[in-house]
Parts: sequence; structure tokens; C-alpha cells
Amino acid sequence: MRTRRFGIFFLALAVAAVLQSTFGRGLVLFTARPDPVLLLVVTFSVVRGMEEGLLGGILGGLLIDNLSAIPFGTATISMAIIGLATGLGEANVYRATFMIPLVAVFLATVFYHSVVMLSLQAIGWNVEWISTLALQTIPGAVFNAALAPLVFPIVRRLGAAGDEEERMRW
Amino acid sequence: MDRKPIPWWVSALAVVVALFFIVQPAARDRLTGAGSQALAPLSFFASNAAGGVAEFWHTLESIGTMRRTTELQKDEIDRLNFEIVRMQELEQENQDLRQLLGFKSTRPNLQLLPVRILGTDATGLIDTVIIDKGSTDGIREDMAVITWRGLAGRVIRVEPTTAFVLLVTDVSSSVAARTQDPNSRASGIVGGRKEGGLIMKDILQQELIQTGDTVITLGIGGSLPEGLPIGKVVRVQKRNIEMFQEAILEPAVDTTKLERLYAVLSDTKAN
Repeated sequence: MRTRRFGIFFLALAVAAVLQSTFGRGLVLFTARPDPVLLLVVTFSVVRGMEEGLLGGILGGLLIDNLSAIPFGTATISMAIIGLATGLGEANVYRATFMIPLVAVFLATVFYHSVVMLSLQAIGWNVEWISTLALQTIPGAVFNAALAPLVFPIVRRLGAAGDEEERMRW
Repeated sequence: MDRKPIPWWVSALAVVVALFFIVQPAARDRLTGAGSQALAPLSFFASNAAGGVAEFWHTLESIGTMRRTTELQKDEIDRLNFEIVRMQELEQENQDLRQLLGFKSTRPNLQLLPVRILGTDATGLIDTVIIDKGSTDGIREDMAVITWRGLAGRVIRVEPTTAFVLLVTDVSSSVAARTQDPNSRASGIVGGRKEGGLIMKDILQQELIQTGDTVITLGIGGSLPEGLPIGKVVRVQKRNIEMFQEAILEPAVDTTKLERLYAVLSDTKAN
């Protein structure tokens, strides 16, 4: 069941990555641009926990690395860390309060952007931290957090469906 | 059940009456006239009813035909709409190619390869586009990518079938440039601004640069051809305490609406 769940999740990630690259500019609201892949990785790890979150992060990161000119591996590493970190509390903690997934998505966006900018700076690119944070990172994090309540139930359903079948098999 | 036989006199009477009407035409005419008059309303009603029924069937048939016709017309309208959009697109492409032809006639030395945009940078943090041509098509790193309006960017990463182009509007982009004005020839480095537009930096204080000047590529230190338009000066920032002055430029190419791009495979003049 886990393979099937990952198959579906990977398919969703691939569609999100392609949409993000193809229509990314069209999705911009003022200066905020949503990050569907990051949203899926965070919500998936929130639902499935650390282990699967790490794997989900690696898959999502690899897709982004292939569709971006940033140093290869930057997205993979940062999303793997995000998958691991947000999966720590798993669904139990997040069920306690509705705000926690939103905060997790917000912080994950800020972290992800910071890692990408650091890696760009490390290879000699010109990075304008203040303006990037003000014009892209913070608005993007708010946008992603606002989308989280829409994505979270869908991903939770995908994860829970697997659990049901596993439980029945036991 | 026994059927009661008709009495013989009834039959005889019918025969007599029939004979009477045969031999007396006037009486017969009166009878048929009266019959016609009596039946007229019935005939009228029946005829009307028959007409109504016929009309009803005809209407039903017409509805069916009309529905088929409407569907066909709807298909036709859709097809024509599609055709109009396609024609508009072709017209736009035609116009674009004419402009490019004009551009090309002024620069016959450039060997161009048309490329299409597949997508933008997935992170959204850098201003790059992915194009549909790669190393197998002759694309190399640092090649210029242009539109007929001017420089759009340069290739920064090449895969076998795709390549990444860093647009001039990215903050990390830096292009050696100068003003086109032969009396000025102020030179500097052009890069993108997060707030939008371009900025030309490192212009010496003594150089003359003013609003409206066209800025073009300098064509040194790389594979960018010389003389490609980059933008127009919209504001000059000059402070006497600083070593250099800066100029804000409006890009020649609107990088948010890129459609048809051309990779400069070679510049025979430069070679």
C-alpha cells in the first residue's frame, strides 16, 4: 500500500512541479508566488510523519532541481530537511491546533527560500536578501499558508486511505 | 347469441328508396346537398384537426432538424473561432518574423536558432526560462538569446535537449553595455532589479548619459554580440561623492511576455 500511496503522491508532485514551472508566472498574486510542491511535501510529511516525509521531500526536491537553474541538489536537500522536520510532530500534534500546519508551511517556505538564496550566493550569484525576503519570500509564505487548509484535507485523505487498508489487512 | 334477422320489408323499402333517388335526380341532389350541409362542420373540424396534427408532426420534425442544424452551426462557430484565434496567432507570428527580418537585415552576421519557452524557473527565485533546445541543437553556455527587440538573456545551463536562460532582468545578470549615442559612449554593467527594470552600474562620473539614451551590448569579454539593444535610460542617479553614476533602464524586451526567442548560435562578425 505504501508503494501505491507513494506512486500517487509522486504523480501529484510531478504534476505540481510541471504546473509550477509552466504557469508559475501566471499564478503570481501581487509579488507572491505559490509553491505547490513545497505545500505537498509539508502537508504529506505532517500526515505521514518523519520517515515518509523525508522521502517525499527528496522526491519533491529532485523534481524542482530538474526544473530550476539553482545548483543541483539545493532543493533536494532543503526539502528533505523540511520533510523530516515537519514530520516530527506528525498528525497527532497538528490535530491539536489548526494553526500549526499553517505555521509549518509558512516557516518551511522561509527556510526553503533562504537555503536556495544561500546556495546561489555560495556560487557567486548576486542575491538581494532584503528585497527577496520582502517581495518574494514573505508574500510567498503567506500565500502558501493560505493555501494549506485547501491542500491539507486532500493529502490527509490520501494518507488515511492507505492506513485503512493496512489496518484491514492486519 | 342469436342475431335478429332484418325484416324483409326494411330491405324492400331500402330498394324502393334507392330506386326513387336513382330515377329522381332532383330529389337526389337535395339529399346530397342536405347531407353535405349537415356534415360540413364535422368535415371542417376533421380537416382542421388533420391540419393541426400534420402541423404538429411538421413542427416536431422541424425541431429535430433545427436541433441538428444548431449543433452543426455551433460546431462551425467553434471551428471558426478556433480558426480566428489561430489566424491572429499566425498574424502575430508573421509580424514578429517581419520584425525579426528587419532586425536580421541590419545584422546579417548573426546565425539564429528559433527556440520555444517550456517553462520558468520552478523555484521562482531567479529569473530564468527553460528553452526547448539544448546541446544537441548547438546551444552552448553563455550564448545570447534575443527577440527582435533586443537582448533577452544568456544561456547559463545546457542539457542535451533543453537549456536554461538567465534573463537580463535577473539581479544576478550582468552584461557589459554602453550607450548607443556616438557622442557619449558611456559604458557600464547592466543587471536586473528586484523592483523591476534594469540598472546600469559602474558608469564613470565624467561620462555623459541622459534620459532617453539607448543602451546596447558592448560585445566584449563573452559571447554576446555587439550592438544588441538592452534598454532605454529612464533615470540617471548621479552623486558627486561617489565614484560611479548609475542609470535606471526600461528593458528593450519585456521578459514577462516572452514568446518567440532566438538563440544566437554564432556571430560571424565577432569571429
